[in-house]
Amino acid sequence: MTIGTTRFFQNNSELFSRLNEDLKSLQSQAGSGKADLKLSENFRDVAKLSAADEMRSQTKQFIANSGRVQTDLETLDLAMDRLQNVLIRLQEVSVESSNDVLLPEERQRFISEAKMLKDEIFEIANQSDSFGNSLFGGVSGKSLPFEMAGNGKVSFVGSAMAKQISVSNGLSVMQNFSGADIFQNAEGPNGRFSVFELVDDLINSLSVDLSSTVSTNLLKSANSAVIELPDTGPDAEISLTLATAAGDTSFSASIYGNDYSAFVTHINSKTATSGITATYLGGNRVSLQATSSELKLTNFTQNGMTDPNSSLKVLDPNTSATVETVAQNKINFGDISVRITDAFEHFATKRAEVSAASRRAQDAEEANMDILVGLEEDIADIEDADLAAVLTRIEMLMTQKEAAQATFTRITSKSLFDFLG
Amino acid sequence: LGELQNLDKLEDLTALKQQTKLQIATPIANLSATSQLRVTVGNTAHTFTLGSHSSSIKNYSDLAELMNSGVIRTDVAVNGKNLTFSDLGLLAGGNATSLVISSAFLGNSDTYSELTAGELSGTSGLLIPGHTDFAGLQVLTKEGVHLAGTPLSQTQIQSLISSANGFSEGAKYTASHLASGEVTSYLGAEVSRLTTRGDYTSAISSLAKSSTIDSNIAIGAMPIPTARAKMAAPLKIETATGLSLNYEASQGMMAGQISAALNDKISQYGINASAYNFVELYEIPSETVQFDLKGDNFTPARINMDMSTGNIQALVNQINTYSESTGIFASRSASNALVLEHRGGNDINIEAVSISGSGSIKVRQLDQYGEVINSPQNTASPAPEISTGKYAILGGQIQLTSPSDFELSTNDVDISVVQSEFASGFIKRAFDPDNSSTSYSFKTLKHADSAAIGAAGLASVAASSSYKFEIKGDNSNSSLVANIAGLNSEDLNGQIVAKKLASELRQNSVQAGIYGNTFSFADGFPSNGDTLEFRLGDQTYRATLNDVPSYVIEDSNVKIDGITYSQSEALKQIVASSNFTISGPEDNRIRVGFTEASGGFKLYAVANDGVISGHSLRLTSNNSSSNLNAFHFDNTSSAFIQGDEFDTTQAVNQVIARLNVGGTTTDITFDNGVVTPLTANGVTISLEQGSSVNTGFLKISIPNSVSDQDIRLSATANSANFGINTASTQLTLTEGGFNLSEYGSDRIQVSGSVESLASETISIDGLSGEDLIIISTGNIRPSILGAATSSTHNLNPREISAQVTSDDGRTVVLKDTKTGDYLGSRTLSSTNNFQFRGFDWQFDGIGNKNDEFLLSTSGNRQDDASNLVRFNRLASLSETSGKGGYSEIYSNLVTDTGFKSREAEQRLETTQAIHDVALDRKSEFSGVDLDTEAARLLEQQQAYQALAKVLSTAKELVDTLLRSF
Repeated sequence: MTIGTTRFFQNNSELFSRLNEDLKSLQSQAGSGKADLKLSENFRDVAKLSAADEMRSQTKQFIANSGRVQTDLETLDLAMDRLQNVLIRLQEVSVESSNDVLLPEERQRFISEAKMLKDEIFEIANQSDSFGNSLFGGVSGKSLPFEMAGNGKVSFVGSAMAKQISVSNGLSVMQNFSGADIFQNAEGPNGRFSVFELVDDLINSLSVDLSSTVSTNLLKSANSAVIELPDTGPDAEISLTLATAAGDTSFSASIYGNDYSAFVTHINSKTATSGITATYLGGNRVSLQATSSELKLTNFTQNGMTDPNSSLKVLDPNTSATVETVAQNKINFGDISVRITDAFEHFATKRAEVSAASRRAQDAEEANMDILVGLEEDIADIEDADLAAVLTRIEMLMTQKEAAQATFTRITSKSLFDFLG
Repeated sequence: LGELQNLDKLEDLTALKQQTKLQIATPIANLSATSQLRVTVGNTAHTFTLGSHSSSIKNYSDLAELMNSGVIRTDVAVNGKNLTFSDLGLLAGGNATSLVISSAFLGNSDTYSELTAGELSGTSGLLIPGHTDFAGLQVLTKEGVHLAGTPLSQTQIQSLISSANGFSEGAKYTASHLASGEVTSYLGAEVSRLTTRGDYTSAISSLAKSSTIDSNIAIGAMPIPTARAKMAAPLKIETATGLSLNYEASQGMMAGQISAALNDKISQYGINASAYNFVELYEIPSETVQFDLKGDNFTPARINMDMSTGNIQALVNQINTYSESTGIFASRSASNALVLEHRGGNDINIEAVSISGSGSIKVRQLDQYGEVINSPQNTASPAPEISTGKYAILGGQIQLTSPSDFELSTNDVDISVVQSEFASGFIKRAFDPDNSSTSYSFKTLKHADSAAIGAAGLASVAASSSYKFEIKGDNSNSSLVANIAGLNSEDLNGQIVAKKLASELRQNSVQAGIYGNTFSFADGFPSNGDTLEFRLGDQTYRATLNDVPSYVIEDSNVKIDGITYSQSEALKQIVASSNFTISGPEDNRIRVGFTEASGGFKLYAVANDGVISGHSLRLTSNNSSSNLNAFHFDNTSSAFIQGDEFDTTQAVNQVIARLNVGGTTTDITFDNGVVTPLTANGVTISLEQGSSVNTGFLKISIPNSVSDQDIRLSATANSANFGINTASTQLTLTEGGFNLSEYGSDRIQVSGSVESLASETISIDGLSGEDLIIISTGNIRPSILGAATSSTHNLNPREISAQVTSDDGRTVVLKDTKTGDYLGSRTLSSTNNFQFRGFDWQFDGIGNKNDEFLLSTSGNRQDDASNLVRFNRLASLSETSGKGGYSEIYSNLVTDTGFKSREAEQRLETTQAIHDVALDRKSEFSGVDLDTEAARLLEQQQAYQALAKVLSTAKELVDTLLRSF
């Protein structure tokens, strides 16, 4: 086939242009060190690079989260440390005050200190981190997750869920605590209890004369005794122990609408072993007789009475005048001391959780750093140009270009016209 | 029947009964003026002759229209009236070939009789029997929580609660939330199921005895017993589904405590227990009254009130000052009576009573609607009463209610269980002790009970609802009864039902009114704004005169609006223009106007329809003498009370009515056509002539001169045949229905019944997007009506608490945290997880019994990187939600685009090559190759030169030749 001279020139021009573009790209890659990725040629690399970029972004965020959570947990650890210190002091107050020879003024001083300790726990419970986020509010976002009513009762208004932050794929670390878990969920021998109620109980216990929870010998001046039991309201539960020379016998019953006949029936059902007989006199009064000359009443507890702090009255059988009052035994120092220890251990456990969380965040940060390094390498592998290959190709293309130019020059330099004339 | 998804509101889901239909098909051309339509309703055949209407009947739709509109009536009158289709409870529909007649009879012949046969022009119709059985609609959640219906039996549970019926895997049936009573709450939604017959109920005292056998009331001399009475034997409860339970109360437990304890045990059986304690102290003497009041309190509340002034409200107020400690609330029920309510149903103790004189206070227990409990103690004669030195222990009552029948017994003695029309029935009844009244409202179902004819003309449904209301009043042998039926479309409205029932009840009682003196124009006409105050029983109404035109007296004439009238004509014009506006507790209760009389006009005021309590309508003492004069009232004016007409030929001698004037009661005797006495305390008693011979009516005329106008005519046990029917209650129409207030110390009894094409209706409001399953367990295939509204949320607001309930830690019960209501339960799989409400609940390890986990929702999460986590999760596809997977999608997109790009480039190269070849080919033809052209040029040059040479040679030859010549 014969083509026109113009077309011949055009073809060669396009060839040189293409070679120039290829060379320019290769020279650019050689100069920058970055591969010139084309979707049509390197689509796998492009897809990998996209995924790697996303992963890098995510990993960087995880590292940032890890750093943030470690800072938060440090603040939380400090708060837990304060809480433990407060409890240590509370235990000291409890031990120092569990003394039935204390004067009322001395008790009052302990009460004041216990109230201050409660205020300090309350203040810690509402503590925030440097960003203003509550340490014990959970996910609720409330700045003050604990509220104290006028009667001193503390209630939690935050969330039961602790705030968690992701520090790696599949691993979330707590950023704060739910106050309900920390302050209202300490495990004691009789179930879970609130730390605030524990302090309240201590304060209440300091208000009660220790010796008032055990009666004197009810039969010291007569062969029967009359006790007046408290107002049950619609219904309440009562339990007490009657101690005779033969031993202690405990009684408990549910009482409906001040009908204590059920309680009397209960006492009389144990007469054979206790030696105690009871008669219900009406008006919440019970007459007690015993085969023993000694009868003491103790361990009086109740639940649901109209007056939560109600006490038992020992009456003169003849005049019905109150001879003696027996207070509830719900508050005893032994129990409070045990519960303070339990609360301390509860805080220690939670503090350990803080440490563990912090360690996990730190581990996650380190792991994420490693992942980030690997990712950077992978990205570099994809993005960086192979200089040797690029230079070789440049050389090849240069040779091709020069050969083509020489050929073209050679072909076009001579024409038939040169041979004419 | 189906599933309702994301339900928020369900309005009146009803299952319809099927009416009896009669289908007749005979050629329309056969009908003539003598053709007869004959239907047998009950045992009576009714014939309708078409007559002249036959010519206008082109098809059966025309005939149906003539029958339904009452144009064609029965040939033979019944009780003086030719009956229409509507009177017989029939509705016709028709098309070109058939006539269909539907009957409103629903199995109860009180209102309508059964359609049993029919024929048209000799062609017998085909009778299609109706079905009036219960459809047994049941509404459950997908987890098997039964919200409305009747408790399911074990067999039904096993066959119905299955994934094939749309229930969740692991769904467990529970009837603990079954709607019973007016409204039940589930997940904060109000669930109600109403039936025409109402729920099954039983009232017992804390002694486990029927309230009508022993309502637990003890009255005696002080001291009060030290121990409380206790049920002698366990209470046995057996359900219709075969479950049974024995319950024994502990010593000292009262009705409220027993009901709470019972609820814990029997709610799972679909039975609900509640307790109430209403006690009325009545006929309290006008002396100083003292007593100790005990409810929740131990220290008695000492009540001390001097009642010599009759100030019952002061006593009520004093009792209520102790309500916080006693839990007992008092309300005034009459001028010398009050009602005590111990909310929760526990005992009311009245101790150490001291009354200054020798008086006593009567005591009776009321039920939850304010009626006297019909126990031997309450109905004893003399009535139980407390006096100085006595005590009264007044126990509450326990109401057990269930949508399904159940049995109660103690010591093998059955306790009555009955269906109550007021317990989840179409008639709602509520006692309001503070206002000493009981309210009634009526459920209507317009979409179910309206008459309807299908588009094709054949599927006709007759208006089938009926409402009956009965008041057991002063006549122990007779009741005041109202019965309305056949209400249609807009009339099917609770207020209209109440209005029609009230109107009929009043019409069946006595009439009352008052007249002024006759006056002429010369005597004067009251002015605009002049008022009169009336009293009807305990109600006060005020009538104000309006629109009296301006007039000018000109000599003996009167000019009104420029027209001159004689004085008598002018008075007529003024009366015609003027009117009264009435204000008072009930609209349109009394009617006031002027009526023409001999010599002029006189003012009249009447109680519309009648007065159930038998009271007179009287002027109050608040009317000024100037106003009384203006309206021409003086001591000679009189009011009246009159009964219905009766046969005056009755040969009896009986006390037919009782007249109370200012606290003095007079028996009115009828003896062979004569009533005695003819006067009583200034009031005239007469037997007036009736509308026909041998009929008459009793009339009480009350002159204005009688000092105490609080006059009441009441019925006796013999009144039924003498046109006197009253009850000690005052009916007042309200927006929602009507109220019946007690009058004096008498207490009425009421009953009611409703028929509807819908045997039951279920409504739910505020369920916030739950999925419900609707089941029918009845014997008929139901037609369902109702409206449902759905609700969806981006963030489900339901917070769930999961509690481990089994010892092995594998059973978890899930509850709505906010309400504590049961949602469902699951058993952990072998991989310690379960699916519930779209969540995969994965447990790390096994929980201990009673461990609780909380699923919280919070839209207020911040600073917790949760968005990042969500973004990350979106990268991969979630198998449970089907969402996410963008990473793979993007990767595929890149790959796809890469392939396409490469493909395009290759195609470009190929096309470029083709293009190049084409250009080359084109160039081959059109282009210029310089070498070739040069070569050709040389050829041409050489040829030219050769030719030139030839020519030159030839020329030379020629020249040579020529030269040779």
